[in-house]
Order: sequence, then C-alpha cells, then structure tokens
Amino acid sequence: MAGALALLSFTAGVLLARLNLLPTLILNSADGIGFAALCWMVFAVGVIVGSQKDVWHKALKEGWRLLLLPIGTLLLSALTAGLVGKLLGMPITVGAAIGSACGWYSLSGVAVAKVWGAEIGLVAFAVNFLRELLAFCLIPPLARFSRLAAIALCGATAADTTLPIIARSTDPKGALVGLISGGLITALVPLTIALLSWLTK
Amino acid sequence: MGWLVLALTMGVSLGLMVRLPQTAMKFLDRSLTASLVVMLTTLGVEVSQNPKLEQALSGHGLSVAILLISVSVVSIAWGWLLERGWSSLWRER
Repeated sequence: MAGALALLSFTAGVLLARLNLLPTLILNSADGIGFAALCWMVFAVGVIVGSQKDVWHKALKEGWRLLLLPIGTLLLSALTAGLVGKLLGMPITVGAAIGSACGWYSLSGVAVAKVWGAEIGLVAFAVNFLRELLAFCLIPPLARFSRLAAIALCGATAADTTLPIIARSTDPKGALVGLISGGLITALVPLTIALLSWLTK
Repeated sequence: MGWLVLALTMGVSLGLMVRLPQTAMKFLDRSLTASLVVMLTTLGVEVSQNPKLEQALSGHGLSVAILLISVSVVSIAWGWLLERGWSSLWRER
C-alpha cells in the first residue's frame, strides 16, 4: 500500500508539473515544501522511536553487530558497482564511486561529476535517484520477509527520506536500525568517494 | 541536513521525555502518510523540472539499469543474510 502510494504520488508530481497544472508559486517552492514535509516526517518518526524505550535497550544490546548492516551495505554496493562497471567498460573506481553513494543522489551527482566528468556524474545521479525511488516502492513488500533487507536497500536514505516508510512498514525497532544504518552510511559516503577519487589519481 | 538532525533530535527527545496520549500518537502516525504524499509529489515536480535524469537515461539507460539492479540485489541479499544468520535483533519474531 505504502509502496503504491509512493509511486502514485511521485507520478502525480511529474504529471502535474509536465501538464502545467500547478501554479508557478508551488512550482518554484516545491523544494521547500518537500523539505518541510520531510522534516515533519523525521520529527514524527523521532517521537515514535523515542517513545519505545525497550527498543533502545534491545538495539544497544546488539552492539557492534548493528554496524554490520551499514558497513556491509556500503562495501558491497561499492564492490558490486565497481565490478559491474568494469564489465560495462568503466574504470573500477568510477563504478565503485557510483555504487558507494548508496542512494545519496544529490551528493553523488555533484561529487562524481567533479572528479570523473559530467557524463559519469549523470549516471551516478540516475542510479542513486532510482535506487531511492525503488526503495520507496519495495520497502513494504520486502519488509514482510526481511526487515534488514528493506533497510539495506535504502542505503544512506534510511536516515532521512525513506525512514518514515521503514517506520510504517516495520516497527519502531526497524526505524531505529534504519536510522543508525542510514546515519552511518551518510557519514561514510563522502569519505568513500574521496578515497576512490584519490585512488584514481 | 542540519534541519533534519534538529527535527529528529527534537522528536526523539520529546518521545523519550513525555508520554504522549494515544490520540497524539495516532495523529503522528497518520500525518506520516500525508507528509509522505506531499514529499513525493514535490519530488516528482522537481524531477520533471530537472533535465539531468532524462539526459542520463537517454544516453546511458542500459548502464544505469544494470548498475541499479546489481547494487540493489546485492544490498537486499546482504540484509536478508544478516537477518537470517547473525542478527538476534528480530529473533523473537
């Protein structure tokens, strides 16, 4: 349901803008309106997670094993994209940089374009933007058979944009794990891209 | 990012310190759906105004699709393996 709603809302936004059905004021402030909605969602998830005190104890008990999800997701995304990129004719570091962004499309588009050129930057933007969109659609069905699989797909976005859907599709425990995983990936992505660009030179 | 961290910190602090009534929690839960619709609609509006995605898809559609699918499948498999094998977090399920 949430996945279908996500896809429907996104499509509605594209169509409304393409068919010029929105007033200029809304078109120009779409970025601000979307960000305000995101801030509210993150606040609401924070209240829901904060009010479940037993969840915090459980997550802290998990200790270092909680780090396996974000670190594994980041490394495997980079490694897979590096190898697949190599098969597609890209240098391994370029593919790895695209994959290591883990859905953080705004950063990857700009950072990758700066080091490897605008064309590769566009590919990085598209891959990571579509990863986020795919996550919006797949979190609800994925969460039914594996909550960690749904969180891993979200990558860096698990700490912000996809966090509310994770919270809806799993439980407060899932939201907390998503928050920790997404937060750590978000902190590591710029470092990974910087390291890969240094390796290229 | 700063605003998001602030919103999250405020939310978590409020949740930890104050025991909100059931109606307030229900309202927060429902507001999640409404704000999700707003956020994704505006995302759609932004994307349609930004030619980057179309340019990338028209020039490198196949590479984008292959990279996206491989990265997503591996991430899903990693999460699934962790949940099956090592994580005790969900064991009581």
